[in-house]
Parts: sequence; structure tokens; C-alpha cells
Amino acid sequence: MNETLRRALRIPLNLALLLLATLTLLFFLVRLAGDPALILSGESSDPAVLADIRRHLGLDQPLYHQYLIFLWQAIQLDLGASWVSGQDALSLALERLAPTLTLAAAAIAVHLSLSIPLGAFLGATRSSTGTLGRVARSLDGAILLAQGIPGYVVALMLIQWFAVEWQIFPSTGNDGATSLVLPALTITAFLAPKLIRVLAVNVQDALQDDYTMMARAQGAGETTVVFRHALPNALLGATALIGTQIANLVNGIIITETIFGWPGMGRLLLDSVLLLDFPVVQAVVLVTTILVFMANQLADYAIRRVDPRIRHA
Amino acid sequence: MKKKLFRISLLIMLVLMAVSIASPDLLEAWANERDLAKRLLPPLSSGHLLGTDGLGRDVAWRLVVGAKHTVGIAGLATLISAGIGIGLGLLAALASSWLRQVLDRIVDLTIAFPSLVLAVTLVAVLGRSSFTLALALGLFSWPVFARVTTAQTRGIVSLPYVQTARYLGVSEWRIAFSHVIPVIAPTIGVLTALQFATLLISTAGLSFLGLGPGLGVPEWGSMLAEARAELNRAPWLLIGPGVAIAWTVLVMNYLAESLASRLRVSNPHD
Repeated sequence: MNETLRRALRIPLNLALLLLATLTLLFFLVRLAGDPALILSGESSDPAVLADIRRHLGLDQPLYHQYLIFLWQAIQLDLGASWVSGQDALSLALERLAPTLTLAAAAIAVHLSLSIPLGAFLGATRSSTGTLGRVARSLDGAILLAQGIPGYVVALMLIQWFAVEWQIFPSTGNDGATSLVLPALTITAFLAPKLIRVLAVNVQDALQDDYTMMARAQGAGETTVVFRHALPNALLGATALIGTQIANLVNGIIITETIFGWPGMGRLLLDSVLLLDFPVVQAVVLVTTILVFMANQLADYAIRRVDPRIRHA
Repeated sequence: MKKKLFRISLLIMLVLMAVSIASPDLLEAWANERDLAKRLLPPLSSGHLLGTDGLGRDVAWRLVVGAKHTVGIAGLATLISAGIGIGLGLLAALASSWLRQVLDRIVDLTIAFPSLVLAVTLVAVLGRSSFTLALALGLFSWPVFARVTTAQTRGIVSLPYVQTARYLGVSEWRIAFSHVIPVIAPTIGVLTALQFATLLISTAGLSFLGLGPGLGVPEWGSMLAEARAELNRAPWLLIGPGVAIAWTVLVMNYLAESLASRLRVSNPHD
């Protein structure tokens, strides 16, 4: 209990450190981009206008002063206004939170409900003789190949077939559940091959273990042995991978949202980056950093909950 | 059979890379030659093995020249990533206790960063070019190298022969270079191949999003972006760059796997 408490107390400390590091990084990154006043004023470089913008943004102050002001405002949740629309940057980012989380949840659901049964099937049948074994082995080959195909290529193929040729699902936008299908499948394509392969190996190993032998000896059918006895242990061995995958989901999401025009934070990031709208970029990076941190903590917690060997290590 | 296929693939890849690096001017000219009368020709058209793109440029030559850009950027990113990661990893394992703690903290922090998000931001800040893309990807992907290096080094440093070297007064630098690096080299080699494959996917991905060396450069990711614009009329344009990326990634994954089994190291990613 004492250990748990200490662990829990360290979470806010770690988060604070992470946020400080991120804010510092962001502050200096934006200063590297050159004079914000020049970016803001666009092509017109009337010195009077420039001086005005500089004074308005506090750019006439010394650098350390600017940095402290930036930190102080960030603590008060003020990341400035968008240089393009003038709206509050943090609210702009938070508006996109719900679509991104929806997409993430859908993607995780599709990913897990596809990978877990497939991994179990492959692990159970890959070494068997007969038709089932042959099917499993060709599926193995297909998954090996799929591991090399990046998600964005899969996305374009999905658009070509499902949106252009067959017109089953829309290729862009956000109207209802149907527009979630292709983006969720794309993110699954980024993640599934690896998890399926790991699960298959784990299931295969578990099926050689004494406890599955025991279950068989007691008369359990092969399906029961695979799904009730081998799969739970195989999943236990894959929790760390699943955790990392969920924490790294954001990488796939940026690309996917941009391809499908999904109105989430990834697309906002890319749009703002291309417009050099740095307050919005900062807000998005900050919110994603917090999300990734929380995902990591949750994964860590989940692994400790399900695996006593780690909890007591 | 699989082995033979892999060896042939690796050979073809090396030859293509050599061709693409060795005669840049002539090849770039072929790859960028526009012929608006011959736009969007399908594969196997006369004179154009893989057809032509929306500006009538030859897809096959663009893929060959693209190898230099895509593989080059991913390679440079891998070098940067490995350099920082191995350096800091060694330092974290061999340094005095306070520096060690600081470095451990930095690695923990950086692992929790959304790497691609920061890479996108850095590319936007520094301006789009091949070098900035490689730099951005390298700067935010080194923690894997640091973690593996530190873990391995700590294991080796506690072994009797390194302890003996220490008692004999051998400096930490010498220990690092003559006792640690040779032992961890196989693991790092395998990790490098895997990381190269990952960074290649990110390179083409960011370039696909418009953060690469820019329009007109026949980078595989930008070629995909151009293919996307013509998806209605010429869906086959996806195949070339898609296969090129997937093939390189698969060869690299297989290289990592065969290195691992030959050098008897476990896969550092698992």
C-alpha cells in the first residue's frame, strides 16, 4: 500500500516535469522559427507595424523575461490567441479533443477485436496439418507482408476501393459512424500485424505448456483450451505491447486524420503547422503530451493490475 | 527459399541505391522530364515500364531517384537517432550517480513525448527540407537506443572482467570503447535495422503530409501524395511508391531478424 501511495504521488510530479520540459522546448522551438512579428505581419514589413506587433506580443523584452511570462501564462492556461483566427489557442485545441478521442476509441476497438481472435486462431492452427494449417500459414505470410505496408498506403487503398469504386463509406469528413470506418481501419493497419504476430507466438507457446495439457487431459475441447486457457495468458504477455501501442496511437492519428479530413487534433496540428500558427501548435502539442502521459500511466497501471509478477517485483 | 528471396532483394536494393547515388544529374533529368502529351500512361506502356504520372514523368525513374531521397533521409535520421541514443545511453550507464539520475530522467521524459507531433513542429519551424526532416525524426526517436544501450551496458559493467579492468585503473572511456561497445554491438545492429525501417515509414509519412523535401522532388512519400490527387483517374500510381516503401521495410525487418538469429541476440524491441 505504501508503495502504491508513493507511486501515485510521483505521477503529478512527473507530469509537472514533463509539462515544464515540453513548454520549454516549445518556447525555444518557436523562437527558432524566426521573428514572430515578421510571420504575423506577412509580407508587409513596415517598421512601425513590426514594432507595434513586437510590443503587443512582448517581443521587445529580454528572452528570459519572455520565457518566464510564457510559463506564467501557461500555468494560467493561457497559451495565447491563434495568429490566424484570433481565437483562444487552447480552446481551439480542446474543441478537437472529442473527435480525436472518438477516433482513438473506435480504432482501439477495431484493432483489438480483429487482432485477438486472429492471433488466437493463428497460434492454435499454424503448426497443424491439413487445410486449417495451410490457411493459417498463408495468413501468416500475408500478415508478414502487411507489416511492411505503412498505414497511409493502406488508407489510400481503402479510399480507392470503399469510397471511389464501391462508394460504401465516405472518404472524408465526419458525418456519423460510417465516416469512422475507414480511419479506424487505417489505424488498425498501423497496429494489427505486430500484435497478431506476438499473440500468435504467445498462444503457440501456451499450448505447449503443462496447464493446457492438463486441461486437455481433463477433457476440455480444443476451442475451450485455446480461448479459456491459452489466450488469457497470451494476452497477459502482450499487455505491455498493447499499452505502448495505445500510447503511441497519436503518431498514426496525425496521419490518418489528415488523410480523411477528420476534424481532430492531428489535423488541427498539421493545418496550424503549415500556416505557422504557433500558439495553436503549442496548445495541440501540450494537450497531446498530457494525453500520451495519461495513456502511459493507465497502461502501466493496467499491467500492474493484471500481472502479479510485475506488481510484486 | 525465403533466404534466397531476401538476398536477391537486398542485392537489388543496394544496386538501386548505388545507381541512384552515383549518377544523379542524368537520372534526375530523366525523372523530372515532363511530357504533357503522355500523362497518366498505365504501366507497361511503350518506353515507360511503370507508366507516367500526372505531369507525364516516368514513374520508374522517379522511384529509382526517390530511393536516394527516402532511404537517404531515413538513413540520416537513423544515424542521428543512434548517435544521440548510444552516446547518452553509455553515459547514463557509466557516469557518476547524479548525472546518471539526470540522464535517466531525461530518457523517461523523452519517451513520454509524442515524437511525431514534435517532429512535425520542428520541421515547420526550421523550414521544409530533406535535412530538417531527418534531423527532426532523429532528434525525437533516440530514446529507444538510449534505453537498450543503458540496460545492456549496466549488465556488462557488473561482470567480473569489467570490474577487474576498473580495479586495474582502466579509464571509463577505455572501458566503454574496448569492453562495452564490442559486446553490445550486435544488439545495437539489430535495433538499428528495425529503427531504420520504422523511420523510413515516418519519413515517407511526413513527406506524404507535405513536410518532406518539397514538390517536384521524387521522394516516395511525395509520390504517394501526388498519386492520391490522381486516385480517380490513375489508381495504379499508388502501386509503385507503395511497393517501394513496403519492400524496403520488409527487407530491413528481415535483415534485423537474420542478424539477430546469426548473432544470437534477442530482438531488442520485444
